[in-house]
Amino acid sequence: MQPECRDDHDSFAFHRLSWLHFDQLACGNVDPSSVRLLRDAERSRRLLLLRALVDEVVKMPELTGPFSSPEAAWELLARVEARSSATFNLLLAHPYTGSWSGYTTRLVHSNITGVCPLWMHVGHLHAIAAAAAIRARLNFEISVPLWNGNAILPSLGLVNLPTAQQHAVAKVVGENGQFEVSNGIDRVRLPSPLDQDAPGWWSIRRATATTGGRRLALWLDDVDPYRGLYGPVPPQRLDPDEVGTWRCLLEDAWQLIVRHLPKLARAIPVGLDSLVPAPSVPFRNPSASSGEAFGSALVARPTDAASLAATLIHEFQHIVLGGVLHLTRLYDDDPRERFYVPWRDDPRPLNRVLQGIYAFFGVTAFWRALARAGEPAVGRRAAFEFAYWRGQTWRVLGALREDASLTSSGRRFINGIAAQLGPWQSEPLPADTIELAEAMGADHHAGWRIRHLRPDPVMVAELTTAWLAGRSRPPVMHTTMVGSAPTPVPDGSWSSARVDLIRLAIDTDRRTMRKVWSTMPGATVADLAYATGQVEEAIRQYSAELRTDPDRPASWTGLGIALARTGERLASGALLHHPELVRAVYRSIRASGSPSPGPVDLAAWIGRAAH
Amino acid sequence: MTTFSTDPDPGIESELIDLSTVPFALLRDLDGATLHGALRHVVERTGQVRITSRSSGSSGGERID
Repeated sequence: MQPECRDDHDSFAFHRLSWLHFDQLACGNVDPSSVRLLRDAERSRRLLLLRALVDEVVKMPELTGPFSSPEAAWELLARVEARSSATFNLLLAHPYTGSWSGYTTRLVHSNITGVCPLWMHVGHLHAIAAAAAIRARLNFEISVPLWNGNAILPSLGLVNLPTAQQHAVAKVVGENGQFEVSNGIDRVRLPSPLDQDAPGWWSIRRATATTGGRRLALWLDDVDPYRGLYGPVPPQRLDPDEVGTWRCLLEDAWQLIVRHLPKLARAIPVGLDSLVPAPSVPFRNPSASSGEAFGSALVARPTDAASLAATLIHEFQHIVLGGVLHLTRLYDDDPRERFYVPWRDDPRPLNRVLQGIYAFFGVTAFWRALARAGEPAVGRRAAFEFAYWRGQTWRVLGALREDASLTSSGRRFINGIAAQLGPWQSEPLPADTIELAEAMGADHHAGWRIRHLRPDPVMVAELTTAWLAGRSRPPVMHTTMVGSAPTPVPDGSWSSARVDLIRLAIDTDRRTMRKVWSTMPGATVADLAYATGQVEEAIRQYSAELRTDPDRPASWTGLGIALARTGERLASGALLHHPELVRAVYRSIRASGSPSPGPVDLAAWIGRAAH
Repeated sequence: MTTFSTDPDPGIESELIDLSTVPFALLRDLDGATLHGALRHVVERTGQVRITSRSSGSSGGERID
């Protein structure tokens, strides 16, 4: 992006993104200069938001509550910039300056209150200014919001003061390099250096990893109220042991990234500033981020470094694409939740599908690199994850590629991803790994269909009648079985236990599996049998589950993948490609008062229509 | 002021005006149709951020744009 002027009566330049950079970002060739371009644009975007917000608030003094005009905070920030532009830019680029400005702008323009009274959110600009002034070591005095006794100084830490009020103000004073926060009841003198905890003070910890000359320095922010996705959240302080675990994990994860994706390792530190640590979720690695908090990701503590590395790359990809989306439209507004994606259990709208494709494109590249290098730390797992994500991401990309809601830029971006991801599909991997990855993909897709697609009731009635009449073959199906739009309301719940067990079984012996499986929420004996390769037992157990609970989606699809593994085609084909139809006919037969058919018999019978 | 680009790859022009050379102290004094268009753009974009309910499933991460 180079400054350039429009033929306009005023002489502003606009941020640009060359096609060269655009194409490089699309194909995953992300380098530091590309990320800096995105950051530069983000800086201007935030300045515009600040200007718009202050313009609006100044017109409506009632929005400031007990605070002085936002111009006081503005002037303090201007003093900071005059003293230290680096400090000013640090606060401006801070991820939660972005999330706060977006959130508060929405509130002000919708004239609604948020998690706190609107004046608390508006007053957060004072907290940003105070943090910047402390960093710049200015002499100053300013009021900041106090939420349940907590006053955030973004990027620095959280002050706790006694108060009976849920929403109040505290005073921050800086004088000759000493800083104090008070509220008339008590005062907290900030320690020096500021990165130590002290009475009434929780500093925002850092986690730094250096390897091969590459350094990644992140905040582990567990206190900033604007670190969440949806609105302000209270602090959730990590204990010191947990911080230590995070730091170790980060060091090991960073080593993997630097070793296996060295080019990306140059770019990540430019775009990733802050992790919001969340409690670990057994057997899973959830993470999340917002385009407004450029540079931040919420990450549940993973169990191992490879999982954290994959998550960091995943979220970095989101951050990059979020930056691109602030520069150009890749799709028309289309909120319809109409796409299947393997990384979620619910139908997704186009914008989130594109984000997922780009994020898992990065994840695929990571596992591919580990698999090719034979990274000993991850064994067979890298090959499996590569096989799984290359196939699943490619499948979704295929569904999105020709969608009418993509703009021409969006299609170009998708094609850039495809140019890399396509050739990876045919790279050799062990046959059993590919088979397992495909089975897991088929399982999840069938699980989505059975819960989110509703079969044609006419077809269900015809099939029921034919079954009850004892016909050897089902009637010819006139309507397509796959054409209906998904509904976001699921018909039944979904369990990820089988997928978790399959992943666990990749590098865990059978004895350990037998010990662990019962601790996995939702896991059944049938799932354990499938994950440990006892396919006939799995078929028996899934059939038994369906006799007890004929609605359970995971039992129908589990039966499907188990049958497929034996080489059976008719029943497994129906159960994996049209499980919603099989279950609906089963329900209909039961509702007629006739004896319940055997699930495998019914599925095989319906499968004849598709073959 | 008008300039003409000779860049062979002009690429994508965003709706974000480049404020990299504008001191913060002067930002509130800026005016003009282009500025106000850019202000409107960023404010409108914040309104397009879709906050939907989280997935009920346990698989879900989330991404808000």
